[in-house]
Amino acid sequence: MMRPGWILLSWLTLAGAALAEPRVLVVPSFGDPPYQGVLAGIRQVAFEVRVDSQALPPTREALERLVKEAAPDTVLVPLGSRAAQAIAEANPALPVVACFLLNAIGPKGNPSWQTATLELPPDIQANWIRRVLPTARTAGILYNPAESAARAEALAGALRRAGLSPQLAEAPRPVDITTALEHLRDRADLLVSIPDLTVFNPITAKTIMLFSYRHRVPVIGLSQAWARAGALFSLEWDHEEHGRYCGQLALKALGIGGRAQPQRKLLTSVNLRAAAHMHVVLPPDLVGMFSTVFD
Amino acid sequence: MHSVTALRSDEPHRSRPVAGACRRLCAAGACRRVGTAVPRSRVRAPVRLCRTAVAWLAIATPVAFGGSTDPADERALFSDIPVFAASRFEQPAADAPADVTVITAADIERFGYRTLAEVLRAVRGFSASYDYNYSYLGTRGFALTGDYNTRLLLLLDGHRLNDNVYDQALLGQEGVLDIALIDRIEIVRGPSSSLYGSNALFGVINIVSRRGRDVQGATVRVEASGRGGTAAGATVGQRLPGGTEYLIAVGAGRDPGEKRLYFSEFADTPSGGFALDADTDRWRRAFTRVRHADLEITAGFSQRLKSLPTAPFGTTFNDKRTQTLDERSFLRLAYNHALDSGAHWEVRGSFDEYRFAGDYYQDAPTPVVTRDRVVSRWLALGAEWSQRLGSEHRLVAGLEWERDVLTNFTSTDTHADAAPIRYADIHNGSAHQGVYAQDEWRLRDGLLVSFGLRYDRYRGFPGEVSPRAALVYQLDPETTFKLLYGHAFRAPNLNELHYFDGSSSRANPKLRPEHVRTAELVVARRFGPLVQVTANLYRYRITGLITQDENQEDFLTFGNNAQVAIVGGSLGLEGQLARGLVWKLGVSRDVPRADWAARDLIVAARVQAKAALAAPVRELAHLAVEALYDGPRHTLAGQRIGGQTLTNVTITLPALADGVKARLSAYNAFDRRLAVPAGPEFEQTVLTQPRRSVWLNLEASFQ
Repeated sequence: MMRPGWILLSWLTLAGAALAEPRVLVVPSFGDPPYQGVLAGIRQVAFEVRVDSQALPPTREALERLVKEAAPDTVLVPLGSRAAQAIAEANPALPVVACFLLNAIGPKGNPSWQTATLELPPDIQANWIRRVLPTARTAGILYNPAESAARAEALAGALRRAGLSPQLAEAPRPVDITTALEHLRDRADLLVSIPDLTVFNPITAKTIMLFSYRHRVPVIGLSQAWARAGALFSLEWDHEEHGRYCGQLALKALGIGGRAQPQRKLLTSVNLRAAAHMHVVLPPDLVGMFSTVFD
Repeated sequence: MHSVTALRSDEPHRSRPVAGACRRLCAAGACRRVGTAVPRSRVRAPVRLCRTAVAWLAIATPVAFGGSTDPADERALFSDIPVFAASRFEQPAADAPADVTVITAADIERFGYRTLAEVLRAVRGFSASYDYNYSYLGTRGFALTGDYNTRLLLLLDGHRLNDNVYDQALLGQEGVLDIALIDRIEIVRGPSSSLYGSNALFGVINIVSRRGRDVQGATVRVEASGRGGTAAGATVGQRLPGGTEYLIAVGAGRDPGEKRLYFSEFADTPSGGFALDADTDRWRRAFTRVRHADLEITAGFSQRLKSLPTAPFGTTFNDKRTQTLDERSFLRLAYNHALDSGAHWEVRGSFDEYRFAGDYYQDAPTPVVTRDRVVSRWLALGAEWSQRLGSEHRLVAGLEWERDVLTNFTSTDTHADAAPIRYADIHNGSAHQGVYAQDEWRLRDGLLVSFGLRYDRYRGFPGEVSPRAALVYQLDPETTFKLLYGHAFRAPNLNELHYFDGSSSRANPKLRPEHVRTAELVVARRFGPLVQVTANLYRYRITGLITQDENQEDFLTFGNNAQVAIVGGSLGLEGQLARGLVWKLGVSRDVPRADWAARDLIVAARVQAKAALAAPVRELAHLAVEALYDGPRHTLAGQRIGGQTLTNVTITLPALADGVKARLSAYNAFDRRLAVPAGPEFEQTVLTQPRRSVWLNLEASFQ
């Protein structure tokens, strides 16, 4: 008969083993479906480890306690800028893979901090533009230079490689958008959205869509919401695909798994009514390539 | 061929062979006891200036008022963005320093409007009448018989369309642009001389034409009416990759009009009071708009020949030879450049021509035809600068110059057996310069002050200074208050200054401009995304109103004879319901103040009401109905015309076939006998308006 001590020791060993199990602790900024989609993607690839989801604690103290009490073999995966910013301020000693971001957040140069943003490689955007608007020659880029100068230049380079001439228009403040759009009105065959929140946000969307509609300058939207609102088409990473990518980064941070495979699956949306208004002819086989069609 | 004998100015005044001696030359509102003076003015800039005047109409932005700040996170990607559906509420801009209405191409198509007059007649605060030659607009309780819309400035893409002889704004089939080429119409109410100079007493109507990108292919349209009218037009346009854009359009039409038009005043004529086949209307137009980079070229031509069934100016009743020809053409170049700093500058030049020919036949006492001929050409230049300073100020400044290069203005009586006699032979021209500036100062989010000032100098009288101020306060994202005050003026036109025929009319080169001062309050409130309410109250006084009266020698002469003061207001409601149903209501009321002195000249209805409804029918068609009520008014003789309602119905099949749409419209659908006061050039005291007509429109697009 085993003595209680051995039982206790066995239990503690098992418990210790459990506590030392590699763990992915996901902290979503919000509970919206897109965040759940990313979480689902993480779970798909990190099936061999424990994946927990913990809502972002409401107070800094609670967050610091959560981080502090996390086991050593844990990687933190904040989803969204709110959670990423909060965890960055908590300065955890654990590895962090910040996902589902528009812009990189966190300490630069820290090898234990990785970032996965939602930004599409500009060449992907440019190639889709070529596919949908093969006769276009100029593409407008509206941006806030303080926020997106590098991004705009990268996109401009991709557009040139795709045979398009970029037309850059600066809008340092929301009130400058109107003037910048006037500049593009007769110069740009289309307007490409970039994740620059000074310029492209739900509040400025009306101005931009009104401009697009009035002057028949198609907008390439940031997301399905923009396509539904009237952009000609939109491109974004599929949320689960992004989650799978983040999951791979998290496994790598835990020392498990190889190099993360780059994201490939896009969520593409097209608005046929916008296309008709813009006099853009979309062959049926091209429409069939879009995952979502608004009409 | 008889030679023309000019009548010397020192010959004794004698009665003209033709009774009444009122000629088209006189009229342009001239030749009668009502003033028509059309100020000469310089048109302001192109669309950019107009856009400034209406403060970024249609692209006004809630961003401008701040509102809630955008979320600085990834949720911006999937936050709900309102679906853009070209809501009628995209305009007017909340911070435009005026009460503004915008009519879109969709509205025009939906309600089957065929002319600009039909469009404007349905707008809150406006009314229209027709004398079987021209269409006339009344607004804010002001309408003078025979006034050729001289107190409204009509622009096409910012280019002035009022001619420089009569300052007439052509609103009917005599108009310059085919209605199918209109992208939208911006109606800016109130005095606008601070930006546009003369003419804009009651407002500015800017037509924005379609561009190549709006066609992107070709469009062909044909029309036919139940009474034998036909019209056709074709448009090609394209925006080429890289930005070059062009549009070319031609059109023509013929309408026999009212084939049997009865006037009791002529009951004792051989036709028994019927004007038979004497209402023929023929027109043709051409328009082009080309843009490459910063340079835009626009040109237009219109020609319209109209028979006059009403026997004006004492002409023989039922004589189909009595007719008028209006021809208007222009060429405009504009170079507009945006600097990296956000500033814009523009230089522009235009060349315009207006031609008029009127042939008036009279058989008694001796057969004679009076031929009025006008040829006028003028050159205009302008430059403008606009700049945003910080986030608080938006400045606009510009200057304009205009000069007549040719003016031939003659009136000749041709007898069968005598040499022609030239009664009027005028070659006076004019020149004008103007400089203006406007600042829109955003004091803080939701509070904007606008101040504009313009100085105009005309040959022959002192310069005019026209200020305008506006305070625009946005109480919340749905509610806007505007307090507006402005001065405007109208310079007397060539006809009023110089017309002289030696027998019945005298020139008055001492004429001075008339002035208006207007104070106005506008409140606009949106109830959700579906309903908008706009109300305005105004008070204005016109001093030095130019009217024609008999002088001490019994000659008709224009003078600054009268003043008008009116208090009024209007209320407009419009909304959208589910499934594409749109509706609008409008009422207006004007009250003359006790001290006005031109009561007998004003024949506008004091009360107006408008209602319109458009709804889809079984997803195949759209039905649109509008009812326009004009309250009681009086004739020049003081007779009362009761209130009357005009109802129009249009059914549209937007997808009859691939690329083909059809529209069937019934104007005056209930065939009501409507009447408007007649001017002094008519024997009639009232003119019955056209009876019911039905038009079928087919349009095919090729892309």
